[in-house]
Amino acid sequence: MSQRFDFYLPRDSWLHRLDPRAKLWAVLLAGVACFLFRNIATLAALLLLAHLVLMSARVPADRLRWLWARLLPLLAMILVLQPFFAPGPGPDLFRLGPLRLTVAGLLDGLSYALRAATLAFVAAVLLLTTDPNRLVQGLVKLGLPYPWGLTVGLAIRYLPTAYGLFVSIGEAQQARGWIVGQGGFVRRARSYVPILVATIIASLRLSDNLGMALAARGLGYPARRTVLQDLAFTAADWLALALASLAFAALLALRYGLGIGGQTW
Amino acid sequence: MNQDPRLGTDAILVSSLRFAYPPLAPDAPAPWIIDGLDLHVRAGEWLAVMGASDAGKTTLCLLLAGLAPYLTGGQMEGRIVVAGRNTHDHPPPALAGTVGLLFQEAEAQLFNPTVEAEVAWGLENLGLPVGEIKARVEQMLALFRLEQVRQRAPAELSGGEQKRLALASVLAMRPQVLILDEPMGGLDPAGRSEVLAALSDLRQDGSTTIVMTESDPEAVAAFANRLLILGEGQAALEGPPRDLFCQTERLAALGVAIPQMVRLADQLNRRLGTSFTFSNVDQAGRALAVHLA
Amino acid sequence: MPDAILEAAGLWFWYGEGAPVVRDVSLVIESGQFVALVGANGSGKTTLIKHFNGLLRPRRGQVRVAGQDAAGRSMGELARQVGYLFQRPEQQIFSPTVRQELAFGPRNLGLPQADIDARVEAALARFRLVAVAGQPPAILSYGLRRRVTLASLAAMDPPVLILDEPTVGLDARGLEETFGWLANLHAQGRTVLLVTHDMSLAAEHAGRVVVLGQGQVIADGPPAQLFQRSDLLARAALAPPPITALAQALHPHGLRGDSVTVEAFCDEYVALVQAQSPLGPVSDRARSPRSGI
Repeated sequence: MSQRFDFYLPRDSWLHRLDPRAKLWAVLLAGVACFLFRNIATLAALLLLAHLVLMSARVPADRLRWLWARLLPLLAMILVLQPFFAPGPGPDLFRLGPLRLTVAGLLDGLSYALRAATLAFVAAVLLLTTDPNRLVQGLVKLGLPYPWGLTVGLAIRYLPTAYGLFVSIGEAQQARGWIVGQGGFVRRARSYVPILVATIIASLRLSDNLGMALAARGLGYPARRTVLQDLAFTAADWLALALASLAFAALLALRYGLGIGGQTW
Repeated sequence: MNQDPRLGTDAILVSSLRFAYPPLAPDAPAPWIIDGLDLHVRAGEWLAVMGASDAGKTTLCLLLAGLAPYLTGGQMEGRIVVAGRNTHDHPPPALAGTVGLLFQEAEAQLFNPTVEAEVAWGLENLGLPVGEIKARVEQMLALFRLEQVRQRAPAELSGGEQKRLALASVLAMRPQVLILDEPMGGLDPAGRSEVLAALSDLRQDGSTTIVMTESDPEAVAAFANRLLILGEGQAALEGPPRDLFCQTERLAALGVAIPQMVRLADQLNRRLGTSFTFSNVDQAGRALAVHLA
Repeated sequence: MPDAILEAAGLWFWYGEGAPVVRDVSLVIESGQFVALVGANGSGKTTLIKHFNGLLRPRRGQVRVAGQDAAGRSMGELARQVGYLFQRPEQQIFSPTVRQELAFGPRNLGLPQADIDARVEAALARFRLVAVAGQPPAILSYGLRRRVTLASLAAMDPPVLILDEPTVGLDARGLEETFGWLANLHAQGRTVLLVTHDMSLAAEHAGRVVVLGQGQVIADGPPAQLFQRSDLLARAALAPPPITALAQALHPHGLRGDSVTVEAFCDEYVALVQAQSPLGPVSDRARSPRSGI
């Protein structure tokens, strides 16, 4: 039996219990903060903070490891390519024809990589600790029309399903003698075509059926929709909102008031 | 099956139905999947629909629930009236409290994070008060023996449990007509007996009219009091399952499987000149033992 | 003496850090056998067979295909020996035309173009797909798509065929077609390994049944013998086909209790009835052409 995973893991923690709207606000602010700063130390601090928050919410370490494993190829690519594409000022460390490597360029690459990682983990704070349905509810309470909110929730719920299809179809094509994932970059990319096409077709079929199931069970029924477990802000949520906003204000002050953090190093 | 004097109200009325899916290209052919079908199903009846895989069974389910042609597109002629409502006049969500449809594939109809949420979802759509929703959820979880797994994710359940959950989610809405598309599909023996038990409970209740498409003849023999066999979009055979299952050549030609017990009765009758009519193992055991004595 | 074509020796497998799904399985399948691998969902059947074409590699133990260790042999190479049809095979369809879909497998095997063309045409004819050969398979009806996947496997023409639950979603005609084709291949000396939880099917077509329960082989032998062991079947969460259950129920009345097909049961019952007849045995004119397995 192949393993299934979903992003969201139910746990009993302060973070899990927060209203999704509060978390959404905090995560949005944190995301914006990532873009405000280029400073490596600041970004690293934000990244560390995200980890601390996740760990205090009893998110298992292997989930964090899993996310790091998925991020590493992207980060590696940024670290390697960024310095060459935008070499900074200063003496060359290394030169190969038109390609120059400078310390500034390397630091820039590190800054961008950290930013990407931090954004990912900030998003994880929301997605790993929030029930997709609750998240949808939160968005709907904020004014999003229910069918739109449902679409977001379903996309999250069916992501693992689509991945599962991808894996099983990959197996089926390999069983027909198709070689996957070998050879040079182009060859490797092309080897995924039979799998991707079949996965897309199967996913489209699934979504078609899902659409019918939703309609058949009353999505769009001409009545005001009841919500069984309604969301309500508690003191903890207001506190979280306040803390997040204050922290953001502080960061803004730091950045634009004191001018700290604009420099990479 | 007892003839209830109340029966006489048509739960489902289909007249001169024809339906074709939209063509894949403007000049491509659009064959009639249903090509002239009339059907009357009385309140409380359990109609089974059988036929070859492309005979139009699933299409008929979609039509009865009003999902075709509304969501599928295509051309429809004729009339379908389910529980007094013409499917042409109502979009499918508006029919949700009247008609329930159980799809073949569990994956596409179970999408809530927990079993409880799944059962409640349709009721939320209907806008029922919170107290009413909670009461119905409890009732359904008990009826389908899902209390132990109420907080689990639907994806974690076994095939049989998933089918029971799908049944619970649809029945929570208390439809007058329930349409089941291959409820036995893809289940292992354990799952099959679970769903058979659930259907049996449903049958006892008797207040819902049921239309069930199935390729598993054992399920049909166990529950249906009427059988319709589709062939080329039309009603090829119609009547009590027992009578129809005797017509072995006709059924084979129509691509319908015959229960082993019925085949056995047929063969024994031909070789021994008897007139056995059993359709399940228990009945067969008794009849054959008596004959030997 | 027939060669062993598929072997597992002390095979263990677990996914990730989970509990073992296959526990210490040792199995030898000889060339030319028609074997049914049965067990409830979760018994490890699919996990076990995925070792025979290299999809999974053993955690412990060894797997041999055609006498050679499968370790170190690529999937592409093993695909020449072992053809595999997955559950929900229609999901693998991706080509713009049916012809190209059928050509996919043979082309992967590196066959010369003339050979590929011949195989494709033969498969199209065999599975009645000539009329749709130029159409995109993805938009065909479900029944047709299933035929396309069978034809794809046929075009690869491997000496060993492994089919994982091939009957799910098939109608009576599809079943007949599939098993007719398999019987044909078996008669030509191919090896067939059928994974199923449908006991009637296993009984009717396989000469040997291997029962898997909780990742272990709990029984291995001819169907008739196996179905006697109700304790084993219970352990594997399986039930004998209805006809066998009936035969066992009538054992106290003189039946052997080991029939696995309707025809075999009929023969035995009729003989018993006639032996009891006070007028002495009467020859019956309408003898069924098929008796026994």
